[in-house]
Amino acid sequence: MNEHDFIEQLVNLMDTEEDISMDSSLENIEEWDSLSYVSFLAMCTKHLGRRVEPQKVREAKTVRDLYEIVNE
Amino acid sequence: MLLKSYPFKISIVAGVVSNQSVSVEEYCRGYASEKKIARTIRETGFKKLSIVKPGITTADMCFQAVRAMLDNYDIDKNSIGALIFVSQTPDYIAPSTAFVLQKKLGLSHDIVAFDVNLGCPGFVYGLYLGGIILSSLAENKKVLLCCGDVSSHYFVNSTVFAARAISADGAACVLLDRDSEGNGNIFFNIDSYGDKFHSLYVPNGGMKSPRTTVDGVLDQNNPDNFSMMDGLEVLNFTLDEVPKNIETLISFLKIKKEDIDVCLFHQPNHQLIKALQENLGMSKDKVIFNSQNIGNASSASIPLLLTEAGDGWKSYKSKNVLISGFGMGMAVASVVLNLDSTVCMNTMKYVP
Repeated sequence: MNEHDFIEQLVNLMDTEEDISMDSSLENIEEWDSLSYVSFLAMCTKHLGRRVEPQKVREAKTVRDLYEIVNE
Repeated sequence: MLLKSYPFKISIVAGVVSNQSVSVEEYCRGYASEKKIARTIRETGFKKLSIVKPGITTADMCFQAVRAMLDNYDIDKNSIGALIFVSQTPDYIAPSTAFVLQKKLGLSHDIVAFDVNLGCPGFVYGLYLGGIILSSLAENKKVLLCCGDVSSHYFVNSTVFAARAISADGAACVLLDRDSEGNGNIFFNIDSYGDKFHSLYVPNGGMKSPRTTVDGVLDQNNPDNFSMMDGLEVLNFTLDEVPKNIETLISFLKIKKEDIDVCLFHQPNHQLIKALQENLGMSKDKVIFNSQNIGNASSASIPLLLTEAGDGWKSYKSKNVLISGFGMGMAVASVVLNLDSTVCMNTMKYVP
């Protein structure tokens, strides 16, 4: 998945109207909450065909960190 | 840990929810932006919540459920050899609320009665205890398992949107009988994670630290008076440990996922049920989410799935029913039961 597609998917998943870039800090995105967290884990499972460690998602600080989890 | 119980069956299930059914949209107005409320309802699947009037207790609702069950099916009160009350919201600090229910129901002195302080995993723990106790009672005796919680007023912090949007009040009871139909032993898989107890707990109110009050009433502004949740930690626990626990049980029973007829999972919210279904690789139509008009009713959520099905339960194939409760403790408790002969009364509204 390229950066552009990833951001598009993430914006849909969070249903946010904020401008999101790879360097956006997750802390500052109001919609990055427990609902988005579970949706993101499900998206990873779908994309990778396996589950990712939830701990890694929890430790993510920026959109780029999430991108790296999806592309590992 | 895998555990064995002698054969038993759930003969009858009864459930009671509040006569007040509040729309989440209205109930949460002012606690989050409209957009966030709408998105939360979409994801949690909870449109309405069962919320009792302050002062109505779990035991009040259990009493109604039990009375309806005894009256409708003409059950001899003296046949009840044990009463287990599973709840985190008892009537009194002491004694066990089971004794209060015994008195109200007019049950005989020939009875084992006690409470079990458990939340969401509590129904399955209760089945395990019920099964064990049943095997120690005379052959014609039954076990009455009551469960549920009234969380909305004095237990969860209803000023916090995430808790307010899902927490509900509900109660249920099931009657357990010996199984003479030769279904064989029943196996549970129960795992407990006391090391994670801080992830979801109520700091004040026990002997460690009393609840704080302001002018003689419970201090609503002190979060320690209510359940505190490390949301992500609880989610991680659910998504990791619940599938592991279930997979261990299924492989021990030497059955395949396709052999499971239906799954009755605790109902934390629709999104988590869906995630569990996906993580387990279980087919969608077998994993029931049917609490959209009740909310998360703690230990009553699983039996309330049966009463929500009500008469319609007969149309389910229910030889291998996978039941799993998980949460506060933290703990996961699962079992596979044959519920072919279980009578499910329709969910009742509480009558004040």
